[in-house]
Amino acid sequence: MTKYIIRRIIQAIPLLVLITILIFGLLKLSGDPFAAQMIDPNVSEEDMAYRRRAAGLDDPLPLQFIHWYLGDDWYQRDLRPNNDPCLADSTVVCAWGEFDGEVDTPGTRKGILRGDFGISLRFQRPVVEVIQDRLPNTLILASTALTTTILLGVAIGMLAALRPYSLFDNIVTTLSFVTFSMPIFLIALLAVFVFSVKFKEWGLPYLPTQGMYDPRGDRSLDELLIRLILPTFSLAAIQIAAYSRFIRASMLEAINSDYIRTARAKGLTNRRIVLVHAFKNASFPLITLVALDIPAYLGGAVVTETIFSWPGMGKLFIDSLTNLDPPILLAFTLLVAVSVVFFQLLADIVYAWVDPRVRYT
Amino acid sequence: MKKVTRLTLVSALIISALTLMGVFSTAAQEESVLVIGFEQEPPNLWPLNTLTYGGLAESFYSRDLWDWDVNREIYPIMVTEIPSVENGRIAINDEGNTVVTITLREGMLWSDGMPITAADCEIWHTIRFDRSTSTNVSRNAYPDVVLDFSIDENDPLTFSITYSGTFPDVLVAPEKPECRYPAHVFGPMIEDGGILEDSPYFVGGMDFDGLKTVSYGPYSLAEWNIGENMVMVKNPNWDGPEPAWDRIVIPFITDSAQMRNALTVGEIDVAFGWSDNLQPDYAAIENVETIAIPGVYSDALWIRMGEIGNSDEHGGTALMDPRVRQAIAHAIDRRSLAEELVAPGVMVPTSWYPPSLWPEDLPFLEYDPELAAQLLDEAGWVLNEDGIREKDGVTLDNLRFVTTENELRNNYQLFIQEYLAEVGIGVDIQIIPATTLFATFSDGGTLTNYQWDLAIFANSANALAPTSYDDYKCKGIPSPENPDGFNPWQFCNERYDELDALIATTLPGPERDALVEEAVRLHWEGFFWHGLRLRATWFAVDTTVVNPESVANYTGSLASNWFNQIEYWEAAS
Repeated sequence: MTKYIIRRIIQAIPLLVLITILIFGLLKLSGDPFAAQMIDPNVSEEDMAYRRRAAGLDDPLPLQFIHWYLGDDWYQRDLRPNNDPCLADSTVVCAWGEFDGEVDTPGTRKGILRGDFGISLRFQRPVVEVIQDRLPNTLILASTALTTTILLGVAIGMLAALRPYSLFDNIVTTLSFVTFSMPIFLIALLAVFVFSVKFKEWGLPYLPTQGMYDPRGDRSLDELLIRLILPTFSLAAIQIAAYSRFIRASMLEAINSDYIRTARAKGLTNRRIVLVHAFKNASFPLITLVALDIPAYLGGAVVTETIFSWPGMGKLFIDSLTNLDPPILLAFTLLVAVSVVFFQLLADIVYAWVDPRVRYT
Repeated sequence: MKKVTRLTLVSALIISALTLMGVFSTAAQEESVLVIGFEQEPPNLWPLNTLTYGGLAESFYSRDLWDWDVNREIYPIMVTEIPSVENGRIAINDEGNTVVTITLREGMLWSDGMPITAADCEIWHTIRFDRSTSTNVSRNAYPDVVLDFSIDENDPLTFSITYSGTFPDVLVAPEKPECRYPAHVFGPMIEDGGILEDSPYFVGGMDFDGLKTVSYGPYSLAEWNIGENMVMVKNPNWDGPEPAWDRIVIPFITDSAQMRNALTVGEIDVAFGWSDNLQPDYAAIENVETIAIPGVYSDALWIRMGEIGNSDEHGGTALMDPRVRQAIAHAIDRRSLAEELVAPGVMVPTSWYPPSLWPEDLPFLEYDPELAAQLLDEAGWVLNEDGIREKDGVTLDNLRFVTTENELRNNYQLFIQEYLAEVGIGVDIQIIPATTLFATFSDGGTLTNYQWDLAIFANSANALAPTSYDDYKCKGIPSPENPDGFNPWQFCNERYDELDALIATTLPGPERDALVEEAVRLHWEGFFWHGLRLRATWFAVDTTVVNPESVANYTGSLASNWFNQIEYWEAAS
């Protein structure tokens, strides 16, 4: 098992490098970040030339990639402005933008291998700090949504499987297909329209429309919990539909298996048969589903976070994409890629742990 | 299975309880709070950040030496009086350079209690003048046009700035004097060779301490929760009118539907900057009033008036005749179109220049189809048997009428097509991507390559200075020799060019006013620019929280000073 894990980790390294090369290349093709992002148009061309060079954008492309990985504190650039006359005598026209020709200013970045993901062009702050701001918010939403999805998805799926083709099963089936066929933004906006706008109109207690905390409040836990409801609902609705269908199908298959008939013949209680024997076997594939969902949630729910103004990774990603902030986008992509690899590996390990039939060599 | 059912019931109960908790907790607040939704979060708060939302956020906690009100009238804030030629504070020295002398009001304090003096203005001068202090400051031409800064030896509140040559728009130019940032915060850092980028002043995030944002304004920036909101609190050292609310919270709500929802349920009190077509939706919200503040952009009908681009297929030389261009304006009921297509009360401008510069007798070309027909007849373009204007075998039935993909402009095109048809002019409507329509001559732009006759788009005038652009000068006409020129309408008037040069080198006063008036008239008499609507900045305010009249009266009408008189906004009575 240990050998298997080590082998998988080693296999993942070239995969991650390949992913980063692809993303790096795509971002470079998308144009000049200084031109595309919301840079003040009144910042002079000379200042922009300095910033571009300081950010390493004047370096050859392969070197930029190496700097991103290994940093540039071992590399020197010509960054000193040739502006002495300008400072000494205010009547002399400044020659800012002309560098002094000496390649003597070392870079300051350490590279991602040393934990430095660079400076966000938009926020002018280290990328790690920006992500540290957002990741906890995404984890709050993601963990709530995932827990809700698993609990309700499994419960509904089991109930439907135990009473196949009953009224409950038919209702669940219909709702599942309806929910599954709706885009998430529609679910989110409908939920807000009904549970916030209409509930208020009808004089009922209504849910907040957006944000993590009440703007007039004191950022308390109850504010957070109440504001989690609609985003969680929007995120979980489709997944609950998927999980419940999945569990229903695998439970039906398990219930009609020979070993369940044997269990019944041995006189086990129905509850024990369903929860211990049938559900245990029916839930194995759930591990794969959850392992695939966690990295997706970690990457943030782009649509949900945008609609609900939830300051998480998804909103950060969409803002960074809109404003072309490569350091953030590269770090974000790497984070998601690493988590996909990690959780897939974890799923394989958990499989081996819960299912004695699975053995890795 | 009963347990599962019970679990479901308990979950439902918990959710209901939390819902009630949320509703009741919202109700129990004592501190007065105004919540203003921002559609975008400022990326940062760099000095003189001219990005709209950076400037908007800054306008809560930072005030200039002077500013402009909703009518674009200048008023003093930090100065004893507005510098002018009359009061001797704007003068030309012996070397022919412009000297501006400013005296700060006594007793002003920064938000941390330190006094404001001319030394604060000097540090900001140093930052703008010396490029090595930051690469992220909007300097414009400051280092190139400013020659000297000096503080009065006898008065620590008085300072002078010397500008190169005659610099008449010293009060309105981006290079105008400023005292935005405190010397006691930035001085030591700059003296130690540090740069502004090192300062925590301008960035938000986990370690952001709003109190470091020492400023002079009715509020102080207390919190900036990146991605979520900004919180302004009353500045105890502000000596102006006391603001009506203890706190202002600015949540960032990027989804426009959610902005309306938030206003509907009372989570925010003010939404602004939304597009014209949303006015009915906002107006329909209970207890919400919509307010239009005139902006700086005007959508207009442009006419290609020059010879280049003429062809018999598209009306020959018809548009070169000013009577035809004037007739087109009279043929269209622009006021009704603005009322019906945009919103009631939308202003239809008379001139491209800002209203404050219009001569009192500058007429608006009112809807008058009979006069339009008469002008066309006088120009020799008479109706043929098909009801189309015709002259020397050339018909006016195929003028190329272009605009961008924009629902409102496309609707305008359709209505204008009908109005023009009534006087015998036919147009061929074309919708062209903005990147092609506005591209330069060498990039094959539709306008710059003269593949048009009529067009709808917006072009802003300088909101405060009376100077014009090359877009209206002879040297701006695009050609292979001048591929970057953007005067595709071909307005070319040597006197106008001369006037603009004179305006740029004449100090404010009666002489300059006369020059400006003449320039505005010449521009208007070209009849190549017919205003369709002055774009407004829309506000939607919850009338149970804010007095809407105070918003209408105390809101800036420039690009990013919409909250520059927030201290005058009143709570609903």
